[in-house]
Amino acid sequence: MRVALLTEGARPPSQRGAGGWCDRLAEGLPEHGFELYLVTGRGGAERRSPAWRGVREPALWGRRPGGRSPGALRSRQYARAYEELVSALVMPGERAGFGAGLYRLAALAREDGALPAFLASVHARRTLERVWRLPGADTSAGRPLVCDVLVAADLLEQCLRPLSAPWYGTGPGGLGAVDLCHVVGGGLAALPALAARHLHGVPFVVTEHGLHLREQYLGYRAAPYRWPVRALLLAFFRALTEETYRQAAVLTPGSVHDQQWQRRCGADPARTRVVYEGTPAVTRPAAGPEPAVPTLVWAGALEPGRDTELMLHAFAQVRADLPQARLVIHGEEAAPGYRAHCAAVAERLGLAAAVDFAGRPGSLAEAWAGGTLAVFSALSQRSPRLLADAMLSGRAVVSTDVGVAREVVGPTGLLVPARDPRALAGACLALLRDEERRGRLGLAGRLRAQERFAVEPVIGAFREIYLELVSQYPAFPDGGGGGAAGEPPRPFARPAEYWLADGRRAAEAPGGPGGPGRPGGPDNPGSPDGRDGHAGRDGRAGADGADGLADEGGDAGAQERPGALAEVV
Amino acid sequence: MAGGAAVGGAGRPVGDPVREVMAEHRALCERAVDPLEIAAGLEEAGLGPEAAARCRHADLFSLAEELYARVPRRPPAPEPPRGRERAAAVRATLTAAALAALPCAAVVAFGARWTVLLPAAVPLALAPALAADPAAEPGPPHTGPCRAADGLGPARAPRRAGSRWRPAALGYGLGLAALLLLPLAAPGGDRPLTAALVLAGAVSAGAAERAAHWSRQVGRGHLGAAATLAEFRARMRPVLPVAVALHLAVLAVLTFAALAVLTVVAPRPGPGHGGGLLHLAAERAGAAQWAAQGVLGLLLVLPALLARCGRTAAAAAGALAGPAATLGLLALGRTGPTAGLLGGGAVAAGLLAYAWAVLGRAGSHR
Repeated sequence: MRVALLTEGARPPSQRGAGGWCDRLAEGLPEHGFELYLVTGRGGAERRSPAWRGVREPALWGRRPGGRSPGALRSRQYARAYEELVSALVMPGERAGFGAGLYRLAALAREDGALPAFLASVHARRTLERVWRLPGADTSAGRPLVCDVLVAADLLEQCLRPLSAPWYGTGPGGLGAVDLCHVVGGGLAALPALAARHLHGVPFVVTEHGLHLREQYLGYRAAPYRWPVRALLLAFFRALTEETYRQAAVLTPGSVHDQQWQRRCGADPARTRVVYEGTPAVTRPAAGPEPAVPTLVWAGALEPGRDTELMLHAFAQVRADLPQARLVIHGEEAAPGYRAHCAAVAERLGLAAAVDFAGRPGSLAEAWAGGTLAVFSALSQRSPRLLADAMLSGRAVVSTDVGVAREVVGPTGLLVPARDPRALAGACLALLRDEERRGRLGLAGRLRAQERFAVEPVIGAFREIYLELVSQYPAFPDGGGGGAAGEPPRPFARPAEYWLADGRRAAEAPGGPGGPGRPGGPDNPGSPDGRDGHAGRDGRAGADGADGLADEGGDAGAQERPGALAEVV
Repeated sequence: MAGGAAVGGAGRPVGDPVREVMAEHRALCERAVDPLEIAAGLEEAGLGPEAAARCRHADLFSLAEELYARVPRRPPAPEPPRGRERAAAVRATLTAAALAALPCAAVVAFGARWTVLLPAAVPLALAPALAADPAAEPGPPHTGPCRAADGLGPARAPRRAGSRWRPAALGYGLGLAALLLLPLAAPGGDRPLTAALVLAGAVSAGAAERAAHWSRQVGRGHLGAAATLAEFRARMRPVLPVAVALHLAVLAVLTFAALAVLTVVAPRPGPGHGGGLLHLAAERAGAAQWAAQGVLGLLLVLPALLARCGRTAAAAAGALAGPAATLGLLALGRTGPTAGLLGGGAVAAGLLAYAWAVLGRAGSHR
C-alpha cells in the first residue's frame, strides 16, 4: 500500500535523517511503498535511507515563493475563506468555523496555487485587521496594532504554505493517489493530511512524540511577538490540533502522558493507541561492571527545567553520609549562564572536588557505564527517550516523579517528588548502600525498557494500524471504488469461500476498487479489500490472496493471517 | 506524597491551596492566552496530578482553567521604544558620503580617463551595500524550543542572517556610479563647474542616506503606534515630502558652498563682475544647471528611500534608468544639462510617484 509520510523538517536532522524514527519505520515495512513529504524543508542535502520511494520538500520558510496573485474575483473568494478562518481564531463563538475556512482555502489553493500571494497581499491584511478589530474579538489584553497585523499575516502565510504545495491531486506523487497518510510529529505537517482527507478522502494516522501543541505553548512564551500575535498564533495551532485530532483515523501518542493532553484537545480515546517510541538502543549490551567509587550519573540539558541544582543539593546530603561518592553531570548548557551558576552552587556546597561537569558524552552508553546509579532530577519529563536509554544500560534509575517518569520507570526504579532534595538523597543512598537491590532494579528496568521501547513492536503496531485503517476505508469517494453506477462499495458482500473458489474468476468484477491508474493484479478480488492485495507489489500472489482473505475475516484475522488461511482451506 | 501533603495541610491551616499556586505562578497566569498554556507551564514547573489533587481538581487542566478564570489577563508592559540608532545612522551617512565623494574627487583630480573612471566606479557600486543594514531574512515561524533529539543539550536551528551583498544592491550601486560619473566623463561643457556640482551631489549622497534612515525610523515608529492600516497611511503622508525637501535643502546648501569655493579658486574668466562672493557664486551656475542639480538630488534620495524600504530592485531600476535616459537623450543630440534635465527628470517623476505609493504601505517599513 502506498503510504505518504508527512513530517515537519523543523526537528534536527538526527531525528529524521538516516537512522531516525521515520527511516526505521520505512525500512521495517518494506512491503509498503513510503513516500516522504517534508513540510518545512530546508533543502539541505542529507543522507536519506533508501527505503523512501520519493522525497518531496517545498521551501516553506524564508521568502515567499513567487507566484501570480489571484484576480479580483478569486481574491474575494479567498478573502471570504480567510475571513472565516481568522474569525474562528479570534471570535470565541465561531471556533467551529476553522475547519470550513481551512478546507475552502485548501480547495481554492489547489485550483490556482495563488494562496501565498493572496495571504501576502494588502487584501488579506485588511481582512485580518477588520476581523481582528471586530467588537467581541478575543483581544481582551491589548488591541492589535498595525505591526501586529503585519507580523500575524506573515506568520499565517508561512503556516498555511503547505496548503499550496503541489501535492494534491490523484496523479503520481499526489496525496490523492496514496492509500493513507501518516503524519509524524503533528503540527503543520498535519495540514496536507487534513487537506487530502477533505479533498480525496484519504485517511491519516497521527504519531506524536512530544506534543506539538504543548511545545508551541512553551516555545511561544519566549517568542519575540506581542500579545495579540501570540494569542492569534496559539489559537491557530490549538484549532489546527483540535481539527487534526478530530479528523485523524488513528492517533498514536508516544506516552500515556501525552495521551491525556490529546484527550484534552478532543482526541477520541477509542481511536487512540499509545505506541512507545522504539529505540535501536535496545540491542545494546548492558553496561559493564560498576565503577569502584560510588558514582551518580546525571544527564540532561543544563537548564533550570532539568533542575541540576536539586541534584547538587541532594548530592550534598549523599556525600554527608558517603564521603567517597562522586557525581558526574553530562549535558550541554541550554540556558545561558546556568552551568556557571551550577558550578557556583557546587562550590558553595563544598562539592567542587566531587562533581564533574563532563559535557556531552561520547555516547550515552558510556555515560551510564561510568556511574553506579542514573539520577534524574528534572521538574518535567516530557519525553521518555533519555529515561529509557538509562534503563537500557541496566543501571538502577532514580527519578523525580514528573511527566512520563512514572509510566516509563514504573516499579523498576525509585521515584521521588520533585523539588525535594532530601527524598532524592534518601533514594540515592538507599540504592548506593544496597548492591543487591540496585542490581535487581537495574535488570528489571532493562527488561522493562527492552519490552516497551523495542523497534519491532512499533513496526508491528503500525503494520496492524495500516491494515486496519485501509480495511475501514475500503474505497475513497473519488477513487472510483463505487463502481460505474457510483454505488457505495459493500465490503463484506461475499463470503470468504467465494474468493477461494473458482466462482470469482467466472463472475465479472463489479468495478475495480483500485481506482484509476491502479493496475489490479491477476488475482485481484473485486472487493474493496482487494486493495490490500497491492501490499505485496513484488508479485507474491500467494501472499496477496492471504492478505485479501485475512481482511475478509475482519481485524482478528489480520493479526493471525496464516491461521486464518489454513482454517478456510 | 499525597499523604504527606495532607499531613502538612493539617499542621498549618491553609485557606486556599489554589491561591498558593496562583501566587507562585502569577506571571504565567497573567500572560497566558489560553488555559492550556497555563497547564503546559505548570507541568513544566514540576506540578503534577498530586498538585492538582491538593487543589481539589481532577487534573492539571481543570486547575489551569480555574487559574485562567481567577487571574485577570495582563499583557506585559510595552517594551521601551528602541533607542534611536544614532550611531548606526551617523555611520551610514558618513560611509555613503565618503564612498561617493572620494571617487568623484579622484576623477576630478586625475582626469576622466577610463583608467581612473573604472576604479572609481568600484567603491560607488559598493556604497549602497556597505551603507545599508544587512536585510533580515524572514525566519521560520517561531515553533517551539527545538530540542536536541537525545535531550542532552542545545541543537538549535541556525538562524540565517540575510546578506547585504544582494544583486539588487549592487545594481543600485552601479546606477549611483553612472549617475555621478557620467557628467564627469561627458565631454564638453564647463569642466570646473560640472566638477563642483558633481562633488556637491556626491557629498549629498550621505544626506540622502540620512533622509532614508529617518523616514524608515519614522515608519517603524508609526508601525508600533498606529492602530489600523488606514491610520498608518495617514500618518505616513507627510514623511516623503519632508524627507525629499530636507535632502534637497542640504543639496542646495552644499551646491552653493561648492560654487562659492569654485568662484574663489577659479573665477570665471572674462571681464570683472560686480557683487560679492555670494552673488557671484549664485550666478556661477545657470537655471538649467540648478534644475539639473535638483534632478540629481531626486535621483539620489528616491532610490535611497526605496532601498531602505526593501524595494532594492526598484531602487536599482530607478538609479540605472536616470543615467540611461540621459545617455539616450545625449545620443539624440541634446546638450548635457538639457538631456540630464529631461531624461533624469522624467525618471525622477516616475520614481516619486512610485515612492509615494510604496512609502504609505505598512509592509514597506518592517
